[in-house]
Amino acid sequence: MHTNIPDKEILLEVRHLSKFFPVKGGLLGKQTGAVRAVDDVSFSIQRGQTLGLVGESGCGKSTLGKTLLRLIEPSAGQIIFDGIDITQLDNKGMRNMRQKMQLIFQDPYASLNPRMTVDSILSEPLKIHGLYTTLEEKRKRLYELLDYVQLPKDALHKYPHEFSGGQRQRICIARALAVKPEFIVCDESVSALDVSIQAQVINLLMDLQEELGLTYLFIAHDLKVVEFISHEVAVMYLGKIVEKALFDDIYQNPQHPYTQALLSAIPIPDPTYKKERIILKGDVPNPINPPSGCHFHPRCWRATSICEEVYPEPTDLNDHHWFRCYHPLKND
Amino acid sequence: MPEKILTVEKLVTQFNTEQGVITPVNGVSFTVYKGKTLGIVGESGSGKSLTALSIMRLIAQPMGNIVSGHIWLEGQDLLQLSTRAMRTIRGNKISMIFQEPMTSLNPVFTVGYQIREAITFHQKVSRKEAENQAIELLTLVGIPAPEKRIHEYPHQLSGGMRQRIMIAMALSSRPAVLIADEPTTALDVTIQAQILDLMAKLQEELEMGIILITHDLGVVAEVCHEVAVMYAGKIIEYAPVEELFKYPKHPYTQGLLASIPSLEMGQGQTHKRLETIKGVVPNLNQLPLGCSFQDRCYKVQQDCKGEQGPPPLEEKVPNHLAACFHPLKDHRDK
Repeated sequence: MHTNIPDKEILLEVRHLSKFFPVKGGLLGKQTGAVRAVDDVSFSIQRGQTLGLVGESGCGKSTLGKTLLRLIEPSAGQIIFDGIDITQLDNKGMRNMRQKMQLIFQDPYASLNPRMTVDSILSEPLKIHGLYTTLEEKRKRLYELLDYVQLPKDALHKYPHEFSGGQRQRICIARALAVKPEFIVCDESVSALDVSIQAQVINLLMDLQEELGLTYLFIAHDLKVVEFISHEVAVMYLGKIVEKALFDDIYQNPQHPYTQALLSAIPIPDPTYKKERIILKGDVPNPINPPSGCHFHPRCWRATSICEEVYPEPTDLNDHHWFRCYHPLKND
Repeated sequence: MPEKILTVEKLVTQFNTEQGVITPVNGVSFTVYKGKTLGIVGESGSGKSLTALSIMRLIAQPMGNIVSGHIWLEGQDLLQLSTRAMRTIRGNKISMIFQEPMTSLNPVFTVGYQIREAITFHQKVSRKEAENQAIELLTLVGIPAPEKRIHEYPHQLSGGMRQRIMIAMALSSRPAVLIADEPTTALDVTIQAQILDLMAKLQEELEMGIILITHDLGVVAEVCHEVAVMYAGKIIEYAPVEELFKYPKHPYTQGLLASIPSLEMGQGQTHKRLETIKGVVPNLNQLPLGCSFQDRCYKVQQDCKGEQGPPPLEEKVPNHLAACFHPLKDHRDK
C-alpha cells in the first residue's frame, strides 16, 4: 500500500505551468484567441516514483509532457528539476539537462528512423552527449542497453522494420536509457501495442524503474494501464489537473465526477459483472473556447449555477489527495 | 435458440506475397444469430479483420483470394454470387464499420451527402426523401441538431461523432448483419462507452446480428454473447462469453485473459507484475508444423509439434470448442 509514502526527495516540481497556443484568424492573421493547452498546472514527483497522467484526447496531457522537457516552450510557470529551474536555462544548458530527461513516444513505428540500424539509433544519443571515448566502451554500453530491454545482441545490425511493434518499443526504451536519464516521460508508450505485448512492456518499465531508480511521468488515456504502473495519478481535463491522488485512493475514493466517469467507462473483462455505468453526454469541448467556470460543467450531472461561474480551487482531502470540484462525491 | 442469419463455413483466404503464399484466414467457421453479438478476438495479424473483409468480399485481388469455404446468408452462398449481385448485398444486407472514423469518410463531401449516397444506392427514393431519412438516421444515432449537421464536413466533427455517422450510414438499409471492425479502438473511453451503449440499443431495436472485431477483452465481456478467439488465421476457441471467461480451455485464451490490466488486480498491491504470454505472434510464412501457438505455450508437449498436424477445433464441453491437445481442465472434468 502507498498510504504512507515517506517524504522522499522531490525530483521534479512544476509550479503554475501554462502553455497557450495563439489562434490566428481574420484577414491580417491577428491573434484572436488562445488554446489553453496547459493552464496553471502544479504538481511534483518524488525520485523513483511514477506519476500517471490521464485524460481524454485534447486535454493537454501530451503538451504538458513535452513542455516539461522544453520541447515546447512554456508560456508561464516554473519547472524545477533536481533543484534547478530549467525554464531559466539557455539552449546549451537545456541540452545538457536533457541527458537527465528523456521521452518515449506512443508510436514505435513512427519514432524510429527506418534507414538507421539499431546500432546507429542507440549510438546517436551517446555520441551527442559524448558518453564514450573508445569504440570498445561504446559496444559494451550498447550490449548493456539491449540487455536491459531483453533484445538479442544481433539486433544491433538490423533495421526497425525487422522488428514487431513490441520490440520496436523496446528499442525506443533502450534509446531513452542510453544517456542514463533520471526522468522519463512515457507518452502513451503502450497504447499502440496488443494486450499481451502491452503487459510485457509495462513489466519491463517497472523492472527498469526498480533497477535504475528511474522516475516516470506516465501519460495515458486509459486509467487501467496507468493504475498498474503508477504510485500517484493525476486526472487532467481541458488543460487543468482536476484531481490528484495515490493510486489506491483514486480508484477507491474518487472525488471528482469526471474521475468517476472515467473509471466507470472502463470495460470490465468479466461478463458476469454488471455495473451501473455513467455515460457522459457529448464530447470534450473545444479548448479554444472552453466552457465558463468549471470546464466540465456542461457534461457533469452534479453541476449547479456556481460551477458555471468560477473555476473551483484545489481542495485537500488528505496529504496526497486533492481535487477541484464544488460538489465532490464524498458528500453522498 | 435464436434464428441463424449468417453462417461461415471453412473459409480460407490466401495472399500471394514475395515470400510465398500465406493463409491469413485458414478454415474459419462460425454462426451469427439474430439479435446477438459474436465477438472475434485476437492480436494484430491474427486474421480477424481479413475474415471480416472476406465476408464482405472486399479482399484485394489479385494478391488476395478467397480459396474455399461458404458464407451462407438467407440461404444464399455469398461466395457464389456475381460481383454485381454481391454489390446489392454489401451495405444493404450486410454492413461494415471500420476502425478509423477519420479516414473512412470522404473529406470533400458533406456527411449528409455521404449518407444520402448510401441510401439512394440501395433504394429508389427522391433526394428530399433520402435527406429526410438521413436526418432520421442521425437522430437514431444520437447526433444533436441533425438538420444542421448534415451540411457539415467530416473535419467539423469529433471522432465520436464521425463514428456515429459511420454507424448511421451502415444502418441506412437496416442490415441483417453489422460487422464492426474495432469500432471504438480509436476513441476515448468515455466516447467508447457512448458508442457501445448506442450499438446495444440499435441492436435491440433492429434485431441485427453483430460481428464485433476487437482486441479488447473488456469490450467483449460487456457486449458480446459469443466469442471466437483467433490465432494465426484459425479460431482456436469458440464459446458463449460467460463460459469462455470463466473456463478458458486454450492456454492462449488463458494468457490473454491474464494479461489484461484490471483495476481490481492492482488494488492494494505495489507494482504487481502483469502476467504475460512470452514471445510474439509467429510470422504467417514461417508457421511451425502442428499447433501455431506451440512456441509460446507453457503446456506444449511432443504431440503439439507436428506428426498429428494442428489440433482440430472440437467440442471439449457442450457448446465450447477449443483447438488444443492439452486443454485446461475445470471442475466439470473428471
